[in-house]
Formats: sequence, structure tokens, C-alpha cells
Amino acid sequence: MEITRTLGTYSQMYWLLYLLAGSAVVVCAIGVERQVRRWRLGQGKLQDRLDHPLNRILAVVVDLLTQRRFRRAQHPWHFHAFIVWGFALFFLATLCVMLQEHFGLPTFSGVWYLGLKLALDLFALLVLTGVSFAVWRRWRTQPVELSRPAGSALPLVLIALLPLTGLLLEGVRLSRDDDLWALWSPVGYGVASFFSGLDPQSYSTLHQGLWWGHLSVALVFIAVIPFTRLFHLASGTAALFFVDRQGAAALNPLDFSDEDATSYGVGTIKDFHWKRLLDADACTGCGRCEAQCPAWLTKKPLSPKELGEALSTQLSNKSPELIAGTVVGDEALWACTTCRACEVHCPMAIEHVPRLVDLRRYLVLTESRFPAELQTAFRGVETSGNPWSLPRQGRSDWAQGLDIPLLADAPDSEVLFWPGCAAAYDHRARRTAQAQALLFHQAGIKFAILGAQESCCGDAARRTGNEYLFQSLAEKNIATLAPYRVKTIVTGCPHCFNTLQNEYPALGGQWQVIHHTTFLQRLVQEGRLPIMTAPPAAVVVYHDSCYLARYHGMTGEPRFLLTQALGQSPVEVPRCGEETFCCGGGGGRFWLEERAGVAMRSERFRELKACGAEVIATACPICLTMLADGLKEAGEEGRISIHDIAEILADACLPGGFIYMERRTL
Amino acid sequence: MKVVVLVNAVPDTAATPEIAPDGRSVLTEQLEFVLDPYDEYAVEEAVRLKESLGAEVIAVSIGGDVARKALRCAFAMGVESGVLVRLPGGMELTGRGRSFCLLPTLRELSPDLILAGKQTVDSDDAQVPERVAELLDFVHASAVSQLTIGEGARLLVNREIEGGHLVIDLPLPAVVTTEKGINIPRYPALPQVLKAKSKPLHEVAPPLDVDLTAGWQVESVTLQHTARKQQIFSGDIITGVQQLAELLRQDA
Repeated sequence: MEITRTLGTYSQMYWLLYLLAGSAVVVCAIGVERQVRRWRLGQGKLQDRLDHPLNRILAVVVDLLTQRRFRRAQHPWHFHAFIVWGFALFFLATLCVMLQEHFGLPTFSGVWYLGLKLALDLFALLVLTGVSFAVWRRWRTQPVELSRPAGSALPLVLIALLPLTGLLLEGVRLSRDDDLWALWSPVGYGVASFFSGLDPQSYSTLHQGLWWGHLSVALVFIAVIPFTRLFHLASGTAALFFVDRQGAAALNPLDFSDEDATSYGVGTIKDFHWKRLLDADACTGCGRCEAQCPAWLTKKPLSPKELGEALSTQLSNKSPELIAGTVVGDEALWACTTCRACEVHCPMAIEHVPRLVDLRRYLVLTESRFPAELQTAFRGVETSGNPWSLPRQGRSDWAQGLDIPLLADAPDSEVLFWPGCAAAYDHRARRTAQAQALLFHQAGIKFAILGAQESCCGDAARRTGNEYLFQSLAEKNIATLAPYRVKTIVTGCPHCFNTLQNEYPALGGQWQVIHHTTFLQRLVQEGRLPIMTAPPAAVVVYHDSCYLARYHGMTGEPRFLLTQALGQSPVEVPRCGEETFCCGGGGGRFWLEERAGVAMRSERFRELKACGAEVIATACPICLTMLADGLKEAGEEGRISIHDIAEILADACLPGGFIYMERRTL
Repeated sequence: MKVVVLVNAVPDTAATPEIAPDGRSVLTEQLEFVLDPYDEYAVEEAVRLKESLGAEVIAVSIGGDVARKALRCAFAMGVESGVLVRLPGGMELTGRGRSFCLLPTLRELSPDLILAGKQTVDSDDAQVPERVAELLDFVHASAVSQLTIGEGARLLVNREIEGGHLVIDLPLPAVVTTEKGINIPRYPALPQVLKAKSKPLHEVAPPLDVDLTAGWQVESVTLQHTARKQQIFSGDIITGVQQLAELLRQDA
């Protein structure tokens, strides 16, 4: 006997079914078209986000099926996954029924049928559990970050009704049919006991009612998608598909060729790229961005979620209003450190950071409106190539006595070492460049520096919205390097690393760019940097730099080096790896005073100290400086010290150590 | 109202210059030139007069390509046009020569007000605006920290003097030099920066009827190396601060 169940009980009414289904799809399509028209108000072409189409499709399928963007330990995610997986299964089963019924394919029979039946049954229960949790969360626990706009009940009701009517239908059917495989739907079988002993007439009425009811719920669900929060099914999928594959790691260059342009960056809602408008609509208000935003958590007036919601409202009104200063306050825009915590936690991969930089670009380029400290830094970078207006000639002072040639004198060097502004000028951070250089010497690397020819890479200028300054710096640096045959650049700073590696190629600069931790890891693994001294007994904690951990997923290299140097793994702080908490210096914030709320550096320092740390290890000169300030402000000088990983490694690898030595010569 | 603002390009003061082999001048090839910071105040003030009173503002400079750059900086800040008195390459002028150089242009423009920085930051000269006032027979006020256009073509300016303020009422036409604090020069918005490239910049030749180079000449120029005194105070923070304060009182 074939394992299946009777289909087509209501086949004489199929014309009605198809009429209704057709109507639902038409209503849905009309709604979707209306939404798509909203996004078309934006700038740019569809092709902007169609590179690598196969990878995009694959990524979305994996995103949806594994719910990987949603699955983060800090937030409840099971309930959503149950609903998604359940509905995917419901869709699959419906498809199987249709294929068997209309095309005679054995898609709803055999062992496959039994498995499907069991899965459907169990997932109906899981969806109900999930939706109950969602209801509980929305109306009882009410987490602060969760937006709860009017009309959020309808989607949940529809989500609940579908498996509910499905289970009842199955129960009613099993109460009468002598189904040999009834136990394959255990929940339905349990429901069946409520209906035992129905007379045939009642059964028929009940079954027919439930069947049409179940169908109606499914069709109403489809029809209302574009008109309710259910639209995140479509907008979210689209947002994931059209995601900028580099995003905040390589911001979009602006075109300055039109000298008559009167506006740069995003002034009003229609100045945004269409994907940003889609992003604004894809937001469900889950608030994970806000719950992770270091600016929000230290009481700054920035909420990435509220910004997105405000933009969506602007879009609905097709508002000609300027966004910066009215829809979102200037202080909120300047509060972002571009740490990318919001993006990493956003289930929709909304491009929070580039969107915010779009608005900063308008403030800086079009309105010339920004905190006064920035002007000093911009001017410094413009004329002296560093934000502190220190002499260009002083750029290689850190290297005095270390026997490091200038690239001009050693054009055949295998590596160009790029310390960056902080390590070149800041007295404390210089020690990190010295440690790195000494380690390279120790490993026998032939390297050179640019010295006074090196200019600020432009990371902070770009992220504070001064795209014009960024491009002029990038062009200058690229032109400086053009005559040399540089293949590999090792940077001392994660910000230079990101900018040189990800952002210079669009402007014509292409080299192999390596952060010093990666390079040192390679040297250690090749046995070129043997550990000499016994490890110190101090408790060492590593603070992940956002630009390494979140921008590049580089959490292993620094830990490898520390483990080698210390003979044991470093202690971990609760917010570590990709979950790291920003030091407060990214996105140009290094150049700005932090006036509102609690200082991020202090917040982070307290967290690191709470691990019992005696030494805080960093791999970024900006983190180093920010945390050192946090340390001083906490009055912990002398009790806790902060070192770059290179300094700690140099202490273990160099004869005589490094950290407690005054500047050493070779 | 017509306002002329005199501008100069100066080497970025953060840079350490190199002395030429002859020992009489500074090598300029390696130096980054910027609009003189004192002139920036003058330009900002002039642009504000343009914005508030509709004044016509023209920037004037002397020199070669770096001077052109200074003019473009002034354009980016909002000045509408400029005149460059182009000097032959390598020609160095004294304050006297520079003021004679400007004279024909200024006579032709016949402004109501001439604004300039109170001095140049590179050579600390504070001569040209005053000499120009003299040659044109304009009244003048130097190192002005506040400027108001009063009734009946008069100016009210505020000068900070040792321990107080001096308010001067003067008739137009006049020459006024600007002191730090008169305003906060703007960081030009990008559309202005890009527009600056196409604003009219006229070049004129220096006058031939005067000997521009007569006068003093530089005998030698040397660099001063000041070694910074570095001292670390040990012990607790309170005594450390007291020691530092004491030392600053005595030595600084």
C-alpha cells in the first residue's frame, strides 16, 4: 500500500481556491511594487549591488535557513528561528501537496511523506511556542530596545493561526480517518482525541470550515505581507541580497568631477542610495543595534535604530527636509565611532555605518558644520599630513637610532613599514612602532619606511565625512608610492591597514597590506622570532580593536602572539572578539572631545580591569592611547599597564627584553 | 562698498625649513605653503562684509604660484575675484618694494576698505598694509580685534591694548589689519572649494617706474634649535604638581 493520504477532498472547489490565491498574490504584488517605488526615489543603479550574483544568492539562502545573522548569544533568537523554519516547512509541504495533486509526482507519499508529516506536526508546535514567546516579549517583558509600533499584533496573530488551524485540521481528519500513520503526527493525534465520536455531518462541516479557514489564513498572510511588519520577509531578504559586500570597510568614493555641484553627501532622503532606503524599510525595530551601540550605551544621543526609523518616516513623507540637524541631531551623528557593533548584530545587515557617514559628508562638505576640534585636525592633515600639525620632518623621529632606511634609499626592501600618524608622533604610541621595527630586525626582515613622505592615510578624515580630504590624501600617498616597487606594506595601525587594503584600490593603490599582528604571527610560525625570556607572571587581558575584530574578523592573530609570548592564553574580557566594546577612538572620534555621557574609554577600561588584568594588551595605537587615558582617569597608573602586543612580544623575543628598557639601539 | 583683502602665502609654520647653501634664504621647494593665518582673519572678515552688506571683495597678492594658491584659498572662503602681481621667479621684495608693487593695482581698484593680516607669520613683517595706507593716504588701524561698519561711511574698530580696549572711529577709505580673535575663519564647504578653481584671477606685472628691490637685503638666516628641557617629577601627584608650579614660576 502506498504511504500517503487522500488529497483533493475539495477538488470541485479548486476554481475558488485559485481565484482567492490569485487575488492574494495580486494584492501582495501591488503592495510590493508600491514599496519598491519608494526605494526608487534613491540614487544609484540596481547594478551597483549585483556583483557576484551567485555568491549573493548563496549567502541569502544560508542567512535565511541557518538564521546565522539572527543567532547571537546576546539576544533571544530561537523563537524567530522556529517560526522561520516552521514556515519554510509549511511552504515546502504545500508545494509537495500541489505537485502530487496536480502533476502526479510522488512528492507527498512514501517515507518522505512520513518524515514531512512528523516535521510539520512538530514545527507547528514550535511555531506556536515561538509566537507565544514573541507575544510575551512584546507585551509583557518589553525590552527597552524593541520598537513596538501599532499594528504589530496582526502578523503575530496570522503566524499563530496558520499552525493552529493546521493542527486542528489534522486532528479532525485523524479523528475520523483510519490513518495507519496517525502516530507520525503526534500533536495532531493528540488533538484528534478532542474530536472523537463526531457524527459525519458535523465532521464534514467542521473539516470543511477548518480547511477553508486554514487556507484563508495562508492567503491573508500572503496578501498583507507588504502592508504589515511581515514585509520584512521581502525587504529583509532584499536587504541581505543587495548587501554591500565590503560596506563600512570600504566606503563609497564620492565623485568630485562636477565642479558646479552644490551639494555633497546626503542632505535629504532622496539623496541616499536606493539601498539605504531599502535598509530603512527593512528595519523591524528589533533594537539589537541600539543594545550594542557603544555611543548609546555610554549615554550619547545616538541610537542607530531611531535613526533608521526616522529615515523610514522621512521616506514615507517624501520629505524635502534636511536630515542632519532636524531629523537627527548633529551630536548624534558625531557620536558614532564606526565600530560596527550595530552592523554585526543587525539581522538584516543594514549598512548603519556608511549611512551615517553619508550624513556626516553632507555636514562637512556641503554645510561645513562640525565640531571645532575637527577643523584643527583637518587643517593639520591638509598641511602637515598629521592631525596634530606636527612637522612632516618629525615623522620618522620615532625611528632614530633604529637603523631603518628610508624607502628612497632602499627601494628594494621586501616590506614597507607604515607606522601611521599615531605611532609616528604620539610619544607613548611610538614605543609600539619601535617594538615592531625591532622585531622585524630581529627576524631579519629587509624593510624601509617612508618617513616624511608618509601622510595620514585618511581613515579618520573619511569617516568624519571629509571625503575630499580623504581622496586628496589617498592620491598623495598613492603617488608617493608609485615610483617604488612596493609589494607588501605592513601597518602598525588597524585603521591604516583597513584603509590601505580596502579603500585605496578604488583610487588606484594596490598592494598586499598586512597588519603587524598577522605579519608577526607569520614570523613566529616560521621560527624567525624564537621566544627567549621566561614569560612574566602577570595577568594579561587582550582588548580587541574594532577594526581588526569586526572589520576583518582578526581575533586569532593577536591571541596567538600573546599566547606565544606569555606561554599561556590571555584572560578574556566578557565583550571580546567580534563582540568587543569600542575604546571610543574610531571614526575620527580620536580627534574629538567626548563631552556627553560616560567616556567610552573609561567604560571599557573598567570592564578590562574587572577581569583582574595587570596588563592590557592592544594591537592598535588608537586603542592604546584611549585606554591609557581611561587608565589615568581611573587613577590606576602604576597598578595596571597597557602595551601593544608587539611590545609584549618584543619583551619576550629580544635579548634584554623591551618594555622596561629605555629606547634601545641595535 | 568695495573691500580689498591683501593676502600672502607663507610656509606652514609646523614645518622645519632648510637653509639654502648661500645662507641667505630658506629652501622653499620642500615647504608646504598656506594662506597666512592672520590673513585668514582678514579674508573671513571681508567675506562676512560681503554676506552682511553685499560688499564686493577682491583679494590681492604678490608673487608666483604659491601666491596664486593663497588667492585660491581666499576664493574658497568666499572672495569672488583676485589680482596677482606676478613677480619674476626668484625676485625677493622688502616691505617697501611690496607696497610699491601693490600701489597701481590698489589705485585702480580704489577700494573703500583694505583688510590685511596684522603681520606675516613667516618673517613677522608688519609693514605692507601700513605703507600702503601711507602711499594711498588712507587712515589706518592695526591689530584690530573687532570691526563694525558704522553710519555715514565710518568704521568702528576695537583694538586690544595692554590691559584694556581701545575703540576707534575712523572714516573710510581705510586700511585695517586683523588680529587673532576677530573671528573664527571658516573651513570652506566643498562647493566653494571647487568653485574657487574657476573664479577670475587676473595677473598684472609689477610697476616699472620704481626700483622695487632697493633697500635692505638679508645678510644671513640661521635656524634656532631650542633644546626642550625635560624633567620627570617622581613621587606622589600633589608634590609633583607643586614642584612643577614652582619650576614654572622660576624658569619659565
